Amino acid sequence: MSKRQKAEFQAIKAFGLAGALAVTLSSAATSPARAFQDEGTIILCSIEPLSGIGTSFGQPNYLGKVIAVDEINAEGGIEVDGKKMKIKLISEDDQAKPDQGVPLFRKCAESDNALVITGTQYSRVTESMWGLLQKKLDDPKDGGLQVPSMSFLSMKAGVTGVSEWAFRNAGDEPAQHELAIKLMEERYGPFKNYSGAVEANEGHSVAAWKAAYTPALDRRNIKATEYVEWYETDRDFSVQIRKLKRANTDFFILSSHLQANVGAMLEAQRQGFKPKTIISHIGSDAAEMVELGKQSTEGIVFPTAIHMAFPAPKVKWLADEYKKRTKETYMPQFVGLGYEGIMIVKEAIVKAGIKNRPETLAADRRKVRDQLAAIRDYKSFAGMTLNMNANRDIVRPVYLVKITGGDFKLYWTPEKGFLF
Amino acid sequence: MLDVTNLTVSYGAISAVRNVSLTVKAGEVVTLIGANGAGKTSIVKALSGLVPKASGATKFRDTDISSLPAHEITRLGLVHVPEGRKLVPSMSVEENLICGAYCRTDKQGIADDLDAVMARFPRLRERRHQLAGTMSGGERQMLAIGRGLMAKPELLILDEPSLGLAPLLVEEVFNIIAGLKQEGKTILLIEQNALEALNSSDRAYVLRVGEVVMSGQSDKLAEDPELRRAYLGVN
Amino acid sequence: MPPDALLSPTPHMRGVDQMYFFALDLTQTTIDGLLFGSTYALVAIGFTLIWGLLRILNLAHGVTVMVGMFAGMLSASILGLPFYVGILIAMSSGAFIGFLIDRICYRPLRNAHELVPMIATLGFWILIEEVFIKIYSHFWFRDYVPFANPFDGIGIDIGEIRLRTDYLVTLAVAALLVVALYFLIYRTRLGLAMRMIAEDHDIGNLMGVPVGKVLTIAFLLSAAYGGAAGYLLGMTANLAGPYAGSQAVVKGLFSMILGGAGSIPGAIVGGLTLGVLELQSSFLFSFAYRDAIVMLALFIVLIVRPQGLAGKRMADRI
Repeated sequence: MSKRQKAEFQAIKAFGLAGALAVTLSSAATSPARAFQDEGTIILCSIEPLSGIGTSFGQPNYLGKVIAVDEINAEGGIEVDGKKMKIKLISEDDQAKPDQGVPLFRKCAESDNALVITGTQYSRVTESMWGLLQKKLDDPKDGGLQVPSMSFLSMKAGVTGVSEWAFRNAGDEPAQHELAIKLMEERYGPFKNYSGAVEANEGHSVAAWKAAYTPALDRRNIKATEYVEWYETDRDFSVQIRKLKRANTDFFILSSHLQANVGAMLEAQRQGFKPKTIISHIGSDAAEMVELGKQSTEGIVFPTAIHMAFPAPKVKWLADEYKKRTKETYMPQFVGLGYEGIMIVKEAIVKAGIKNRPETLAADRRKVRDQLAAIRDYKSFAGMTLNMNANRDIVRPVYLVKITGGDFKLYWTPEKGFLF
Repeated sequence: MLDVTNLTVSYGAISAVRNVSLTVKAGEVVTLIGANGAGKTSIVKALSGLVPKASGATKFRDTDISSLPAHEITRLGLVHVPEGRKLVPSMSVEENLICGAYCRTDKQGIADDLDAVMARFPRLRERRHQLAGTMSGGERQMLAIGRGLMAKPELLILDEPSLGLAPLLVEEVFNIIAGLKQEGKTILLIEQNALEALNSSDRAYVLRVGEVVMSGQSDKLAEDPELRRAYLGVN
Repeated sequence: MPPDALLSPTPHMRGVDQMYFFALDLTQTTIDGLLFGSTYALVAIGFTLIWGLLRILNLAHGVTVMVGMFAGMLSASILGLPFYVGILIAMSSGAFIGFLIDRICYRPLRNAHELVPMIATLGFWILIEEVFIKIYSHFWFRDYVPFANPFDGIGIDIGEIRLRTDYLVTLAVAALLVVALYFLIYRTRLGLAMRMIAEDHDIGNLMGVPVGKVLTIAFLLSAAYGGAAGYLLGMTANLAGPYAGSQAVVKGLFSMILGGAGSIPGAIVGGLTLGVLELQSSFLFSFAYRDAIVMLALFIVLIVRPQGLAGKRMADRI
């Protein structure tokens, strides 16, 4: 081999080694795949963004699930066919990328033989993953996967419409924001200039604008005075904030996630842009909003499903567990949704009467799916009653949170109204 | 001063130069002549370290330079003025000359040599701040040789200095070489122009397809009928 | 899609006000773009150094930016060190990465085909970024971590135009680094060596330049500049995130091509222009089409002036 050929071979080796190392490292952070279902355990899969963009939503959600699984296993497991079986929770990291999430979903369904696949967060990934599922039940022409899957977070309106095997426990966004806008108007209105900022390359934020905020404005015969967009990875928001400021915005709709929100709000602070009211969605439910945003994010209001100030004692217990494991003092709703979600799945499994043997996997999956679809008057650990609607979305009451004094304070409940 | 024994240079599977041996003594002007592709440039590139040798021993002033990197060979005093000149077009005449003195540290010596080169090539002095890229072919060749001299060479290798030049300029180049010879400089001259090369040198080696086919005193070789037929176009 | 498609006027204001604000905002946006573009210029300079000397695109350059950002974050937010110390730390960390890139991606492969070291830098980039993200997620529970910005909130007001202090500092640092680079290249022996090598490696070899050593220095220099850019990018956004490297590569390459590949003035012009282009296309047209407009501008420039905005035509070899 000539010197040149040797060097080329070296390069290919080096590159291949680098690639292999990268792949190994990416999968080393997650648990290795189990080939077959253990007869002694129930296999659940959990797919979310555990690193990269989306860590702030994926990690809390995942931890909520882990806490739930640990609690169930500590009591011996789930009652199945006369005996108690422990849960094995297989965790995967999709890094908020559809091209990573889709193969992981397939792996969970086909090689891990999971009974239920839970996940994920970013709607673009959830939709792609659920695209693998059979669309309509009992359709002989559809060779899609037949595994019940439930997301405890993906907020994009109507995302469960992709398949009859797909479920969601997150909340009805259009209803949430209609309520939020209505309450703010009653309390602080009337407003003159409603403006919106949308994270243009993020599916959920765009969908929220189209399906939740715009219809709400239309119902009030209001046209947005100013409309700006940015990307979740942007670093400069000066043009957008200036436009909002020029429009004398007093009602500001922030349909965007924390990554951009922090930057945008800091810029707003710099330019002295202070609207009377700011409404955002669950993308603002992350400690970074106050840790990185500091004063600039004061006053932001967003809807929540579960808040750590709820009276139910189990909620405080969960917040303490979360704090023990992460040293975080604030527990975002995703933790509770993850915990609750596992509990909901557990109940569905118990009611389904599965056998949990390799040969009964397909039948078991179908039974669990049907139980999930039939959830009625489920009493959540957080105190409220939940029902699964015809679109396979869990219907739940809405609460509002306001960032006040550097803290996420529970602001409004259906029972008590405004708390301060 | 220079001893080359059994030099072989290969590019991949092709050997451009096979088992070539030659010597250059101090004060001599030795020339390598041969047709295009005979391997002349490959030999000097291997000597100056620009291309690797496949095999062979090279000794320069009692130092084995067979495995030395190019920049160290230059610092020993073996200065190669390359084929095509390889000047830096975006630098001025003066800057290009300073480049030649890169590995020297004697400020005064460099300044003196700069003056000497300008004196030898008055046209360069006229254009000392002009960009090298805007100069004519003949001027560039002078600049290249001047740059080589700035390195204070013990042995100066001139690779195809007359290539691409008009006949009048060719004459000028060989006048310069004659001048250098008179000053006692040791030169290894690579040339396609066999007639002028033989006239300017003491000894010559004739290369064909990578091998030395003839060697000896230049004036004797110039009278060799076979050589005259092959390289001087004489019948 | 937004309520108003391509141009976004402000119909709610009076005509005169509208014009005044428009002119004002146009000026402000241009200034912001120039100031912010200086970070792009710094990144582009890093690319240019390696491209000019080696004719390879150092795709691992973004890693130096990311490392500089995080070293700066550690220095500024966690250790609370002053700004000028932080920049030096960021540049040193960047330089260290540059050293690695030289030793791993270039040196062992320099005898191979010219594309091979470039592919190696690609592998380096992917590998280090993946490893970094994993380590980062292990330590921090966050997408971003705070980067202390001591100049935040203060600025100089000229009438209604605001010059942010942190942006001015960025421009000052970038300018200082550029001047230093010019001094190095045109007034030192090392610079002379680099200019020789940039023309042809053989010239360097024949003049007695230890080419390998000088190239290592070039990698260190390029990477140090990348590290400085990382620090400034983190500081002005108040955030450090693990994807900064990838973003930097894209912006830096665009800047270099826009301004004229292989020339330092080109990198500077390209970086500043890109900064202005990005902000102006957001301001004048639509945010959604911002990237498309920038690409279109790049495309047009390359058709009309293929050597880039500030590039020189390819000179004949002599």
